[in-house]
Amino acid sequence: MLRYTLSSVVAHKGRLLLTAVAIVLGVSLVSGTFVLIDTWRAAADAAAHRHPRGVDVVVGATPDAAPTTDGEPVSIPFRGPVPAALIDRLARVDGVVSATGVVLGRAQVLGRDGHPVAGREPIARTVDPSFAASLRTGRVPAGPAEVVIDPATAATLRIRVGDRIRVVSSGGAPETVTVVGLLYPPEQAGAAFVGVHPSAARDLLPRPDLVSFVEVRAAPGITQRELRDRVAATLDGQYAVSTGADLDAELVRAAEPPPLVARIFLIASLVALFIGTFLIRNTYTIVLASRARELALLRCVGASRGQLRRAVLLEAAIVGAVASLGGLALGVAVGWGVASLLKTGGAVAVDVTGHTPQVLPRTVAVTLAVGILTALVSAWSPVRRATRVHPVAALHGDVFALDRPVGRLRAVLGGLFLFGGTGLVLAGGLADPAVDAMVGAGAALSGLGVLVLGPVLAPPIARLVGAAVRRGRGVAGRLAADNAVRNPRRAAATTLPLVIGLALIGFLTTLAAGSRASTVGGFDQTLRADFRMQAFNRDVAMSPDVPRRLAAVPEVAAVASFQVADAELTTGPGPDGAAGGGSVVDLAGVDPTRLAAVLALPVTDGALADLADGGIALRRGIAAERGATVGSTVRLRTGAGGATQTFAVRAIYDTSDLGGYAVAHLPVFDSLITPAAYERLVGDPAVATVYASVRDGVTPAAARAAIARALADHPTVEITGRDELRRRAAAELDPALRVYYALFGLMILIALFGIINTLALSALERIRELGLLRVLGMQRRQVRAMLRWEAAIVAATGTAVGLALGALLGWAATRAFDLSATEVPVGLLAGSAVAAVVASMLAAGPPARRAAGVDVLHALASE
Amino acid sequence: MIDEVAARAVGITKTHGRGAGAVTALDRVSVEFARARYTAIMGPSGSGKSTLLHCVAGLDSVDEGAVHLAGVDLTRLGERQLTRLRRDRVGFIFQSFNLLPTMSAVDNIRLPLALAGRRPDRVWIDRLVDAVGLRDRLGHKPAELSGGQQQRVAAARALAGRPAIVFADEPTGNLDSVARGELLGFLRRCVDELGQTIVMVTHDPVAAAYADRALFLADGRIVDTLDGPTAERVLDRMKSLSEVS
Ligand SMILES: Nc1ncnc2c1ncn2[C@@H]1O[C@H](COP(=O)(O)OP(=O)(O)OP(=O)(O)O)[C@@H](O)[C@H]1O
Ligand SMILES: [Mg+2]
Repeated sequence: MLRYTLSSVVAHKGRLLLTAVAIVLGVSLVSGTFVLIDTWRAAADAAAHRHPRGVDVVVGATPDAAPTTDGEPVSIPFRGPVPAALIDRLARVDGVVSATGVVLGRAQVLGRDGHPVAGREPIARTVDPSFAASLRTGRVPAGPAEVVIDPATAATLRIRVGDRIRVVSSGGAPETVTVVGLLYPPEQAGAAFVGVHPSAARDLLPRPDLVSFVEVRAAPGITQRELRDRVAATLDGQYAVSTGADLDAELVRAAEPPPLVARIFLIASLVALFIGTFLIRNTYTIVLASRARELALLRCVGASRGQLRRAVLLEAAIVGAVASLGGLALGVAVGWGVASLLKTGGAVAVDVTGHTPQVLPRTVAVTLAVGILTALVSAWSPVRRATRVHPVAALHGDVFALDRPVGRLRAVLGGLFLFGGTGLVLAGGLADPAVDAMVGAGAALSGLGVLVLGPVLAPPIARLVGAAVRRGRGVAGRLAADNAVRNPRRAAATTLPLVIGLALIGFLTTLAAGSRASTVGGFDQTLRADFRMQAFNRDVAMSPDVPRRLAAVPEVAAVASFQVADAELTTGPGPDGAAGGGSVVDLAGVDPTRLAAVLALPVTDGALADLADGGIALRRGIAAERGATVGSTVRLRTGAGGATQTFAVRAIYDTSDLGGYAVAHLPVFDSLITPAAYERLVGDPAVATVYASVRDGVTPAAARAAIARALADHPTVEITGRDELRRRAAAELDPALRVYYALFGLMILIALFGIINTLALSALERIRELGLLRVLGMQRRQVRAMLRWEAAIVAATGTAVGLALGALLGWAATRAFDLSATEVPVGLLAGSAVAAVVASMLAAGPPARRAAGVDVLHALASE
Repeated sequence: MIDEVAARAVGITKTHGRGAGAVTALDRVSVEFARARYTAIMGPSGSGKSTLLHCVAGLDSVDEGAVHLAGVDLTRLGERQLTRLRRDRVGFIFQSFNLLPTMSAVDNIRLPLALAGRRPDRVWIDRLVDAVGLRDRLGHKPAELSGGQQQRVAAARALAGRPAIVFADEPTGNLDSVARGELLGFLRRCVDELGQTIVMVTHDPVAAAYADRALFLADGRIVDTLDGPTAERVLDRMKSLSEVS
């Protein structure tokens, strides 16, 4: 029997090839995911080890000296300054060869228009000769008039080594310096980096008694851990001490794929594999039907049913193994493609595409196992049915249908699931507020319903879809419409992958459209200003001179400046807020009369105009959290050991309907007080951000030029127009969406291939029919048209069902996520539907051409 | 050109394969099929009957010689024109698998007209349907018809477009004697009453007896003809042929 298996693998090359391609596509996303994640890790690793400068121990401030963001501890270099005297202390520790103070700060390269280019986080650092080997090109700065910058900044601003550029550090005046080299940012991948000579450290940190952290090198023979312990012992826990290796590991973790991303990719690839099994099963059913005669003959000459089953399953395993290797190769390409999408989306801090694709033994093993298993599982039931064909029966019949008829139980169950599910989704989504649990359960149930009901539902829908083709396209159209619904199970299995892929796309498009609409809507409703002015370095506020100068610009109609600080808000009885401490809120000082000119805050209680000195306005979420209402009092305290002052709540505003992405780009704060009260409480006149609206009739370009002129003495100030802010807010989701669309696009590709695969095999199966049609005078072009239309009908059926389901679920999700606007992107959905149908017709070209080109007599004579 | 001949082959030779394995299926065959006549082609298995039919019908090309069908020289026609000629001027009946399984009987009958985009002649189709006795079966799919009924549908289909000539390759090969009689009787009436031209390959002396003339092929050559054949005379000729070879 092994000989039979091998000879039949060779003999049925063509058909097995189609099966193999289905498996290749199915497993390629799985292997692609592994390749992407592994390569991403390797790239992160390489990025962290790009500077093997022999730093053994790093000493910096303790974590509690730095505020934490999102609960993640801040890395040692970013924790804020330590005394410079520490350097000498460390140099005296036994086993230390050298201790070097490093100063970290903010600096930006100015563009040709004299303003910093916004976008990436600006970081500057002292660069000593130990970096010489790490440079991408050039040399390290030899004096204060020389800098190195990161390759990405050099590329965007078209700066080359040797060019003279203007650099501004926070607060300082711009200086003209020479670029002497390119260097990847050492402490944070992806930052906009400026490296300065150690003698220029005071431009970054104007206090000579402080440094950001200290790099320590060990004498030969002393390990990093030993030195770390020795250093730590002399410091009494006053400072944080870490080995160079640990710091590197931290850097790797920061640049690595987040676990959530890895999980999403893996889920997407499993969905693709699931889609793949339908196709593979379909393929096996057709291939085995066409071989039923051969199998029956083997039974006649004495092969047992078990022998046949084992032989065919072994064949499936061989095909699965070979195809997995193909899938592995394709997976490398897929992983690389997704990586480049991530790169253009700016979603990844390291350049994954610049790294050799990583194919680990684990990836090979998993891919092989998945491929073989998929082949076996998909082949299992068709093989069982094919080997059960009665020997004699098989020798007589004309065409075998291995597909079982569709049962009534399936129709009833599927119908219940689908209609119950959509009913739940609708009921949950229409309820106000939306009931998340109902929407979720309904979505799961209707998805299951589509799976179960597919074979029942596909033929009538395809018949409906095919009606137009049947009427308008002559005999070819008519036959296409008939053939599309000839085999319900097959029709369902062929359309299902398309349904799943397009349902995901429909879901995402609708959700994204809702999110975008609510973001843009929230933005438009709220922001009245035309420009935002902000220091490129968010840590350093602007001089109060900035709003004064802006107010003097004739083109500017109104200016509102925001002073911002963190504060602790309490409502408890005692002056120390005994009851469980307070809430940390962002507090803004702003003139309420000017605020109205730049921002329309949705006030739900009280009035902002009442915000006299001593009054406070609160965001509703905070007010609810602290139990504050208009008329009640709250206490504020800023900084450690600052004074506590009492404020009367005068207004409450609600920003929850604006959408998180809009709020992040708007001057929306937790609490507002008047500038006078702010200065009394915080004692700092500096301004964090200024918004200005322009007089009617002034063009944005003219206004921008006037503002830029007025702020010529403040080169650290970024000027951002309303359109740019709006675009950034709306595009917040884009990098993630692009990756999703790419993944789902691949699924659609697999689905389209499935249609073509089935079409090619069906044509092979119906070759006598094609021969007969040709004898009777069907022109080749009519044969081609017939098969193309068949593909189109199948594709249109899957598309219609998938997009409808996806749009419904997407709409329900926008409701469940409480987005303020729901929008079904009809144009986009219709566009993808048309694209899918046209693509399927194009893809049907080669098999249709083959079928049309078949020799008439040969076709008639074939079995 | 008004011609008393519906189809004519002049010295056609057809070789299958090449080199050592080449088989000469037709060896300089010349033959004429007169209009409104019923011709049977007979001969041992492998003698070239089907090949002759295919060549004259334009389904297969000839290596040498010329074929005229309905006044057209087939050797000058391209693939599209040949297909159109088949569609508009030729009818076919095969031994089996004549019908499209997805279409009803009546749709199968109208299929060549539909392919041509021609409006079916209602009166003519009605007459054919009555002649084959299938009026009450028109809406049925082929799978719901008996073998004999299927062949009668195929015969009606072959004649639906009023072709210049109908080719039948062993149309009764799978039928019992009653069904065979019905089909052959119908074909005979088509010749007598409607003036159709029919060329039929058969192994069956009884079937050949329905024809006006029988041709005998052996090893790719026409070795004998018999006008007004009867079953006994055909049987005699076949016996003598097999003795010769
Ligand atoms: N496609 C082909 N390739 C090679 N040889 C062929 C081919 N078709 C027919 N032949 C050979 O040509 C010869 C004539 O074949 P043909 O089919 O015309 O015979 P036939 O008289 O119709 O026989 P039967 O009564 O068995 O149908 C045979 O020897 C056959 O083997
Ligand atoms: Mg034959």
